[in-house]
Amino acid sequence: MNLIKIGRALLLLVIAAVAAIVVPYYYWLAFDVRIPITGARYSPVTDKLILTRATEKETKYVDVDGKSYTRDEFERLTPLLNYRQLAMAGTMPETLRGVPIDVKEVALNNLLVRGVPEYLDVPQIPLFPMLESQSGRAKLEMPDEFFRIGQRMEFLDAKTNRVNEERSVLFTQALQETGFAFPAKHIDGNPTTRKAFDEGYFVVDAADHLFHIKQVKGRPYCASIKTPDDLRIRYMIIQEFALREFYGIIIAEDGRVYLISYSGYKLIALPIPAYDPSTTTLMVQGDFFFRTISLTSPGNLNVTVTDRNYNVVDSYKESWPTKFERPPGIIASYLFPFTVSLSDWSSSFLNLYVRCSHWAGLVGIALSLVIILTIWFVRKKKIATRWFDLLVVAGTGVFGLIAVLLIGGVDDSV
Amino acid sequence: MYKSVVYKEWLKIRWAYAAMILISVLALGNTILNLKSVVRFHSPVAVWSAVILQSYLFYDIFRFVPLLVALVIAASQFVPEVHSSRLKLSLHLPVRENTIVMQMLSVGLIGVALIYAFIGLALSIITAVNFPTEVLTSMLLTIAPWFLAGVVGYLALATAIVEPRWIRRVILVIVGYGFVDTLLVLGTFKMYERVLPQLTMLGSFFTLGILLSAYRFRRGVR
Repeated sequence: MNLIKIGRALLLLVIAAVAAIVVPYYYWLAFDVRIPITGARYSPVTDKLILTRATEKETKYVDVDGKSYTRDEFERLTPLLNYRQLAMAGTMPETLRGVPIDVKEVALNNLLVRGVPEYLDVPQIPLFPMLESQSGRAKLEMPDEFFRIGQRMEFLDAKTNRVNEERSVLFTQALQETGFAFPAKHIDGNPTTRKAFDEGYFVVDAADHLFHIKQVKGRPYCASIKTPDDLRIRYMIIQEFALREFYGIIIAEDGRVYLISYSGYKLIALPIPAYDPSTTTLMVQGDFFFRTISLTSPGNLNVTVTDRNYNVVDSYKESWPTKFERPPGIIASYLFPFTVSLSDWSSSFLNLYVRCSHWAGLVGIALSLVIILTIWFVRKKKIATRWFDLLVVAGTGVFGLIAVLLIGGVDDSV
Repeated sequence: MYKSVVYKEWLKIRWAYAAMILISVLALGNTILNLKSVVRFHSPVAVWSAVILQSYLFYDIFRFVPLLVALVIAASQFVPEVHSSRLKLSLHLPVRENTIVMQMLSVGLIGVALIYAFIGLALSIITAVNFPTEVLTSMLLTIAPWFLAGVVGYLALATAIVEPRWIRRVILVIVGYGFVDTLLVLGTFKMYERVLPQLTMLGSFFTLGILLSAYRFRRGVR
C-alpha cells in the first residue's frame, strides 16, 4: 500500500508540473497583449531623434518633442536610412549637412549590427570553416575543411573525415608563435559565403587573451589583440562591412560593449551603460554622419546617438509597462503562484524557466486551499489522510488543485 | 518466477516487438540512404556545413520512432491483460501484487531499452563514420529527449490502460501527452542540453503510477 501511495504522490507532482507549464501557456495564448514596439532613428536633417511606434494598426512617427510625421515626412527626415525609397521617388537631397550626397557612399556607410539575446545564447557545434580571405575570386567559397581549437588547432577534411596533419601543424605553429594558450574559450566569426569578403575568426584563448585568425593565400594569419587586463569576453558578434571600420562587437561579462576597430585592433568602448545581454537587445546602427546605439528590453528603450568618433550627441530613454505589469499579467500573478515555461526569449536553449509571482501568488494559493477543503468537506473526506495533497496545493496553488482534482483518491470511484 | 513472467510477457509482445525492430531497421535504412544521396548530389563539405552550421538533423526521422516503439509495446503488453480482466489472475498468483506488476513493467522497459540501444548504436556508427566527434556528441544530446519521450510514453500508457475508470484513463493520457509533447519540440540540435536532467527526473515520477492503477483494477473500482 505504501508504494501505491508513493506512486500516486509522484503522479500528483507530475500532473502539477505539467499544469504549471501548460495552463500559463494557454492563458497567455488567450490573453497576451501586443505592446507597441518602439524604435528610434536620428534625423540628420532636424538633429532630433524620431521615435517609431509600431502598433497593431499602423506605425506612428513622433519626434522627442511630440511632433508627429507621416511616413513620407519621416523618410525625408531620415534620408540615409531610406535612401533607396528616396532615390526611387527622386526626392533624395543632393547635399546633407553641407556634404554632397552620393548614393554609393550612403550604401557603403550604412551599418547595422544586432545582438539579440536568443541568438547570442545558442547551441553550437564547435567546428568552423576557415574561408580563404584572398582567393582572387569574386565570390567566397566554402573550404573542404572544418577546424577545431582544442589542445591544438586541427583541420578536419569533410571528404575523408580525417585530420589534415599538414595544415593542422601549420596553423598550430602560427598560433603558438603569437603566444596563444590552448584550448580556445570562444571562437566567433561569420561562417557564410554570403558576404563580400572574409575576416576569419576572433578567438579567446585559455588565458583570456584575444586573437584574430584568418587564412591568407593558404597561409595562417594570426594576430594577438591587446585588450584591457580586466576584460572578460562573454559574446562577440563578428560581421564584415565593406566600410572596414570595425570587425565586430565585444560584449563583456560586466555588460560593457566594445568595437574591435580596423586601426590596430584598438578597442573602442561604446558610450552606453553596461547592459544585460540575456534580457536586452543591442542594436548598433550607423550612417554617414552618426551612430545610433539602442538597448531595447521589454519595458525599456535606451538610445544613445554619437558622431563618427563615438562622442555622444544625443540620448533618449523611455519606459512602458511590460506585459506582466498590465492587467493580464497582474491577474496572472494572482492566479498562479509561479509559472514555468520551456522556452524563453533570453536563450535558444530550452529550460524550465520559472517566473515567481511573489506576494500576489498567495491569493491564488489561499483560494485553491479553500476550494479543495470545501470539496472535501462536502464529500465528507478525511483531511488527516490527505495532508500530502494539502501540502502540494499550498505549495503550487491552482496547479496542485488541478492535480488533486484530476488524480482523485486511491479508492475514489471518480 | 521472474523467468516465467518474462516468458509470458514475451509471448504477448513478440509480434509487435518484431514489427518495431523492422520499423527501426527501415528508419535506419532511410537515414543512411538519405545521407548518401545528399552527399552524392551536393558535396561532403556542403553536408557538413548544413549539419554543423544550419542544424540539419539528418536523423530527424527518429523524433517519433522511439515513442511509437514504446506505445506499441505498452499496448501489446497491457491491453490483453485488461481485456476480459486477465490481469486479475496474475494478481492472484502467490507473489506480491506490486512485485508482479513491476516485473511486467520491467520486461517491457528492458525490451524497449534494447531497441533504443540498437538505434542509438547504429546512429552513432553512421554519425562517427561521416562526421567528427563533435557532431556525434550533438546527435546523442539531440536524440536523448526523443528516447526519454518514449520511456515516459510507455509508462503513462501502461498506467492508463490498467486504470479501470475511463475518465481517469483520459486524464492520464492527456497528462502523458502533455509531458511527451514538451520533449518533442522541433528545433535545433542540443536544444535540450540544459533541461535534460530535470525532465528525466520528472519523467521518472511516472514509474510507480501503474501500481495505483493495478491496485484500483484488482479492487474492481468502477
